[in-house]
Amino acid sequence: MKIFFHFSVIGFSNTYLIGNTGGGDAILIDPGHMDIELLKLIEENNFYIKHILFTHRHPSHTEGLRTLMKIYDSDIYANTPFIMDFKVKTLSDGSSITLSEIPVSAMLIPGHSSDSLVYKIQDALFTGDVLMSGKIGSTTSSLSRSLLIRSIHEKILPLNDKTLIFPGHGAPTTLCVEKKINPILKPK
Amino acid sequence: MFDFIRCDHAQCDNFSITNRDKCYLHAADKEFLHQQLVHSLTTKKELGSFCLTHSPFVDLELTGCKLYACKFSHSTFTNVNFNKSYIQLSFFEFSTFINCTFENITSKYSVFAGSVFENCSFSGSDILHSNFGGIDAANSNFDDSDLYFTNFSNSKLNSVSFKDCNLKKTDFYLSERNEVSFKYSNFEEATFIREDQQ
Repeated sequence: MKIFFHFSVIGFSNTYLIGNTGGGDAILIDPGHMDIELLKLIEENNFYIKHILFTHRHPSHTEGLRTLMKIYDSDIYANTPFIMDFKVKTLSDGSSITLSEIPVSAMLIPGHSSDSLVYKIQDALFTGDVLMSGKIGSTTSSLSRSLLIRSIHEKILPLNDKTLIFPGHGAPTTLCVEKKINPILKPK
Repeated sequence: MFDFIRCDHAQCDNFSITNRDKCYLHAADKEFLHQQLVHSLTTKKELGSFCLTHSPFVDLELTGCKLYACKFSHSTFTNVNFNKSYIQLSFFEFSTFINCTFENITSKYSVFAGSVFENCSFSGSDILHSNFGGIDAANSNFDDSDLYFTNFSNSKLNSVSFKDCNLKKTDFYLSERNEVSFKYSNFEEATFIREDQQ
């Protein structure tokens, strides 16, 4: 399995391209912006975007969808019925699917948004705006913040410490790093 | 990306060495594996999707090396020259770097978090979207570097210089800074306080 990281200065967001060695059908997570660099990344590695996964429907994670759908005939997955008028295959907490021979499981971790999904692919976790390096996602109320922290503790912290974390914004990290340096997660 | 295959030694959850069934700590032929990797790094100067953690590296000349999607976590690097290297999506977390030079490197999307740096120089480098969170750095410098979107949160920085750097979106939240210089750098564009995380 190959994982490619793409950063877009529009929305300051990360997009992840995941596929098998040698190319073929691939997965794109959070296309916040479709630019020529992302297109080159896909095409030069002989990938076809068959599946698009969204961690949540905020614009900085979804704005590239319309352009992508003009190029590829992709299935869309998220925890919401529609994104930009495109019909979505809805995933919920605990959903497990296999996309392009790659097993993907989803965890619903609300707080930053009500539809926030975290995707686990082998030992890689695509956390969107739920968990980033050294911080957690922003929230609009103390209730949402409590919900987010509780869900992270219940669903993410029990995972293996070696799990690699690929967030929606900022640098990658690992679960072990976050347990030690993230002020929200490290033991008091 | 390196294979996410675990070491088959009982109760070990380290990732195994690429194309091996055990991690470096439990490999029977440590010396051979180490020499093989060092030979590959110093001659080919390019390594992709490779995992070898918990290993010591001493007195190596890796100028111009290209590392992509590799994992060298929990390793020790002493007197290693990484000058002009290109490091992308690679993981060096919880490692120790002593007297290492990373001058004029490009680091993208790489993780050095939780590592110790003593007498290391990163001057003239492009270190973008990289994670130095929780590092313990002393007598080191990042002068003349672009540190866009790089994370130094929760780090301990003692006699570390960030002169003439681009610090746009560089995160120093909760960092402990002693004798740290930001001279000629746009430190006003870096993050030192996060109101939404209080």
